Amino acid sequence: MAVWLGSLSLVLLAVYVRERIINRNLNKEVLYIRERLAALTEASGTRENGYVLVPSGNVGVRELSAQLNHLLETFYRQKAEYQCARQAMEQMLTNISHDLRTPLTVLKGYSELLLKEGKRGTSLPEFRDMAKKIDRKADELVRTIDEYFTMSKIESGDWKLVMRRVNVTQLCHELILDYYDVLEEAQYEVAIQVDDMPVYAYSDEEAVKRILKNMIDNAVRHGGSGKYLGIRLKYLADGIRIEVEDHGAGITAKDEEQIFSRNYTTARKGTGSGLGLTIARNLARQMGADIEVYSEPGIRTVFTLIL
Amino acid sequence: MRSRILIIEDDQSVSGMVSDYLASEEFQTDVFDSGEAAVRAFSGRQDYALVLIDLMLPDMSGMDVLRYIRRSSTVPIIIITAKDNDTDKSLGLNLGADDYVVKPFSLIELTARIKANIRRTTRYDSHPGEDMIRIRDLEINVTKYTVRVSGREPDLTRTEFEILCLLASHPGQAFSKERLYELIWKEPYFGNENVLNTHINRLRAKLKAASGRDTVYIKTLWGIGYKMEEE
Repeated sequence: MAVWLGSLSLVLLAVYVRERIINRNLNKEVLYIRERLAALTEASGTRENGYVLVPSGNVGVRELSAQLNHLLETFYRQKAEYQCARQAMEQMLTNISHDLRTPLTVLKGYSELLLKEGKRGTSLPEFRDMAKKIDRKADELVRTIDEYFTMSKIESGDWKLVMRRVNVTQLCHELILDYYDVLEEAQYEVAIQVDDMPVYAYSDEEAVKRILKNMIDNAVRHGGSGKYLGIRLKYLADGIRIEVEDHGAGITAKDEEQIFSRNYTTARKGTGSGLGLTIARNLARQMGADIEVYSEPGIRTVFTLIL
Repeated sequence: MRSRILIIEDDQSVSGMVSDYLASEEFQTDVFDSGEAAVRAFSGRQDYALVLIDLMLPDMSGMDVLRYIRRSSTVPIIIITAKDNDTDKSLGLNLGADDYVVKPFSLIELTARIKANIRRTTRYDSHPGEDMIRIRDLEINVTKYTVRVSGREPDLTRTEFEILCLLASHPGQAFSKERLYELIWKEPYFGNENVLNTHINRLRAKLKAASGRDTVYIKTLWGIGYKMEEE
């Protein structure tokens, strides 16, 4: 009896030990699969395309990893296809932009020639109007192409920010001076509150220029009816605020949420790509800055770049 | 005498248009659609006032033409590029181009750049080796540091002369106070408004006294910048 009980215990112990070992191995394999998947997820943005290889005795685990590998393979193939498609898109955009430049140069040039002839009084007034319209549309086309191109550059990560100490006082002065002739001719009231003392911001100069230019362009293009343009530089404890104010039609609360989204424009159809503010906010956020809008429609609208 | 401009551009719709426009602005133009022919033409005559060149040419690179011209001449060169990236621009400027325009460019802007670049380098035959800037009734002798206004010579200090010279060689172009200060005093501007204002005011007073008229040569722009009035 004792012998019998003894051998039973031994057998049970052996079975127990064997099962423990199997269980431990299984645990190890599952843990390995988990860690491997975590590593592959981490590396999914890179070129590394790894698989899960588990030389397991367990049929279930083997099938599980086979399924996982199948899934990974599909994912990698699609990733590669996506990369290809994106590169092709970028290349196409570059080509389009390049191929449109030459005909646009000619279009723009001759519209200017027509306008010039018109000013000399050698053509009928209605022809002058037509020339003006062609010239404006040519400008718009140039701007639109430029915006699509910039947007794609930002989205593909080709726009590399160069963060430096930038004299934003001087930058504001020089940017607004670029508009001197346009604003004086259109008899704008221009209010500049940018103190002479230099204020520096750690930022990308090109990006800040681009953003402010977009804000001023918008104030003139969409808020031009108010014939007012204000630019203010405020140096506060929590940062630098550059405000551009117009007294035009303004932006309703409903539009306020949407003006920063792609291709949304409050202007009549066909007057702009609607990408300007998307680009501006995108660039601002990449620098760790932001853009705010405040509008009392018909009274005043203020766009603020917070650096 | 009408200034002669060498245009090197392979797209004939562009070169034809530029040439038409420049003709209406009283320029003479020679148009070539290949680098080879342009180089030959350039060696053939010495009287080009400016060279306008597209960087992308069928036979030889615009850069090579640029390099060739620079080996023997200081004629102002403006490059035309269709590329958005800055590499072309900076490469061109490093090779000795004076200015650049990016397609699509405005003819008005191009013409302004051409005039400014020619004005900056024009030498008059009557005084060989002397740089003169003429704008409205001002005659500025850059070599001798003298100014004549309506036949009289106001006595300008060195700084006043430099300010006048800088603004006059870029007529119509707005200079912020910061930029003007940095270009003249060669040090950063820290709101040194009085220094700049004082010099500008004295310069204006001297020009006014000499011309005997109230002509505004230097215009103040919103209190933040200055420019030389074109007419």
